[in-house]
Amino acid sequence: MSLDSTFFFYLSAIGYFAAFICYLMNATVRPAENEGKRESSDETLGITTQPSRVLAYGSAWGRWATWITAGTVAISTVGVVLRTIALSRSSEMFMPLPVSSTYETLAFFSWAIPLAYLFFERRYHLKTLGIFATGIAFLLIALGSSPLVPKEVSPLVPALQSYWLVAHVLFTLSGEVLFSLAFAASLLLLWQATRGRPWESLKRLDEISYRAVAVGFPLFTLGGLVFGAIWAQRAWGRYWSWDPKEVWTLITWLIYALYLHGRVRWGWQDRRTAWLLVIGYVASIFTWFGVNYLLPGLHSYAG
Amino acid sequence: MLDHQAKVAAVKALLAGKDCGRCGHATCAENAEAIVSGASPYNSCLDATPQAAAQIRQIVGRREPAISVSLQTIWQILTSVGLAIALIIAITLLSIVGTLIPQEASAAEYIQRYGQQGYLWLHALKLDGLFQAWYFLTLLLALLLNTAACALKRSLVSWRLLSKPMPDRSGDELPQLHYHQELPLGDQQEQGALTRTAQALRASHFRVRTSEDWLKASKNRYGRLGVDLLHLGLIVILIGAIYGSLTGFSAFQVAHAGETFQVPQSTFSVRVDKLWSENYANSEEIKGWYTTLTVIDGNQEVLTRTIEVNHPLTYKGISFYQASFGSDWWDQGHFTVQVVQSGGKVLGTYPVDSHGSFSVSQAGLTVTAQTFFSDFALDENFQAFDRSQYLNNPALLLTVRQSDGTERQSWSFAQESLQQFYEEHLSGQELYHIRLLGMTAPEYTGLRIAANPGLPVIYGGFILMMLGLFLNFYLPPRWVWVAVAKGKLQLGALGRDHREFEPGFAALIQRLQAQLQRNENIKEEVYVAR
Repeated sequence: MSLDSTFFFYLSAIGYFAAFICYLMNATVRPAENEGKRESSDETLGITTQPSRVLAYGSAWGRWATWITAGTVAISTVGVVLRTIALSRSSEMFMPLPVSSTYETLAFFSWAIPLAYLFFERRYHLKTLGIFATGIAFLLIALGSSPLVPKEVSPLVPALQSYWLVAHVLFTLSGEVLFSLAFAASLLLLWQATRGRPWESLKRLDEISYRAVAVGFPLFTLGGLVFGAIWAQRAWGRYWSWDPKEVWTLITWLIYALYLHGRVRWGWQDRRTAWLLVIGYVASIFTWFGVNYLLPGLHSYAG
Repeated sequence: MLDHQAKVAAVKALLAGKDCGRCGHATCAENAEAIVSGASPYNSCLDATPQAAAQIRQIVGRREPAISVSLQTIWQILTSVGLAIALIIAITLLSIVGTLIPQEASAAEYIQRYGQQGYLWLHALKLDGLFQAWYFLTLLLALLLNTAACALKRSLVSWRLLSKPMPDRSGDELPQLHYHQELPLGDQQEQGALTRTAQALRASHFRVRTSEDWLKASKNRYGRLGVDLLHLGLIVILIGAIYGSLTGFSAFQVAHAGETFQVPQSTFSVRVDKLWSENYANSEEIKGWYTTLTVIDGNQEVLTRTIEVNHPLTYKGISFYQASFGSDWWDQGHFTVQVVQSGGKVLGTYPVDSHGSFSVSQAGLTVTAQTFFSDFALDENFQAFDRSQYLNNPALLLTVRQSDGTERQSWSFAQESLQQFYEEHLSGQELYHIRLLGMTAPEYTGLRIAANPGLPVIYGGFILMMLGLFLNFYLPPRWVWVAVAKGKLQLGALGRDHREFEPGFAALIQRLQAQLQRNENIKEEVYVAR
């Protein structure tokens, strides 16, 4: 097997799986904490409470998990770089970065989600989300390895040969990477809330979700709506055609806008915002995959 | 007069006292005044308890509002949260429907998918052209108005907040603020506490004003404008879109090499000098379509450029986009066919045009080229159709008339295997087979011609929107007040909203504690996690 980008992606799948197991063990193999005991907290309004035991930081499994994830991201980076080089070698083809096929976008996600997660882990000292980050990276590579997903560098139709495409896809996907983290944190929050955990101890998850969206929403707006419109104007002479991909991008954007208004402006401080993040993420996934494969139209770049 | 002042004071006491601005007024005092005079609703304070709101209502009582009821109500509805949520949900749901039902398709397509009745319903409800339907556009317009009203309201508050210097707050007022912390001070600490606090704040890029026993600090004051800019940007985008759709146009022009066409809504014309299509090396895949255009304005050749997809030509505000490419197989094809007797004897090779004919005298045949398919395929009913404009599977349908008057249809495929299959199994009792040897047709270029005067406005709106988003999320405003009294350090703060500054404030407190403790115990190293 040649040492090309695909090799490194498959190798990273192994790494992510190992990290996934470590994060899982880190979250489960621990002294069970007392459900009834109230978390110690500053009584003063607005100060976050001490992190609860389930979300704690520091066991051996956890340290291994972080190191393996970091190493795997490095391996995945090699894969991305090799793919970029392969693209530039394909002499006739215009595409400076690997963002134009389903395989490449899956690979991008599997590289970027754990990378973004590591930043959040460092800032918030929370390892439970690592289960999701590494798990989803592994799943995406598994999806990408399917024979239904062509992996060759294949020539692009004229409409896709544009720097605006690169900007459009890069920024949109980056936004969606962060939406993925917000999604994971919200799922965890909702699950814990259903098990009766008090809101105070879940605040950290809410905070993480918000920060992820705070970074991701401007990226998604810039890439999905602004660059998408500019590119459409350059390619087709029409910056907005109400085609399914554009409409679903708008829908996704509106849902996240609703979330931001709820949390920031209207004081929603409960499960509503978490649910909005879940729904918004489902919409963003549908925008990415569903439109390509399930709906016909100008934007169906399946494959 | 006294009555009015007493009411204002009473209402003010019932409000949350945080001066957060969310009611639409810069301070609680202003809102109290507005509530009593009727300009602000009794429940405008989002942080007041329901009991407090009820009490406010009782104080204000039923009375004539300062502005007329209808205007007041309209304004309240326009700036209401509920309207925004309802509009966003309605637009979202309708948009989803618009992606599930094909838009702007032919009646035949709809009838095939939904049946005759289904199509009639769809058409009546305008679901086949939903995004241009009056009800959808009305919702968009309503959202524009809602956004504009909310943006205006907030901008006025921003203006009032930012045009005044940062207000002073006494130590007693600090516990009321969103963020508040009290730090006990040891005897030795009290003296330098304020200075150290100022130092810590300055290290975090705050602008600090100190006095004897209090200080006030602010950072990113203008970050508050982020939201205003963002919403202004959205409004500008929508205005640009409306303006563009009213003043712009879009047209499609098919042209062959050498043709000159008059450009719609303008005084100049364009000549197509050359057009060509390129494939990727050794491949059927299209790499690019190219057209060389010359703009002729006032009998002068002003500009010559080659366009391709993603690289249009723009002249006097009108743009020419390479949209598609093709060959005139239908009307202007030139074919070369070979007539072969069923035994194998070749009778001759003949050129024939689309819809043209030729005769084979020795066999008494007249052959007419009827229809050409560049990409022949069979649908589920075994009917022939042309799958694409690309020369993937050329097939020519001909009519063969014999000297006795009988007429027969005969197929001719460029692909040898297909031709063989046809001759062996499908051609029946044909005495003569026709083989398709070659085909050419003049190529044409498909150009989209469009102008949109609203584009600069829309792009300007994009910039405003992105600036606003950046300012809002990356430069949020902070206001901190500190007072030292009775052995305690009181801190009060306001952030961009009442949750966003939580972790930042906690971090600030920790840094301060570290600073203060350093004074107390010089030898001990105090490590405080960030």
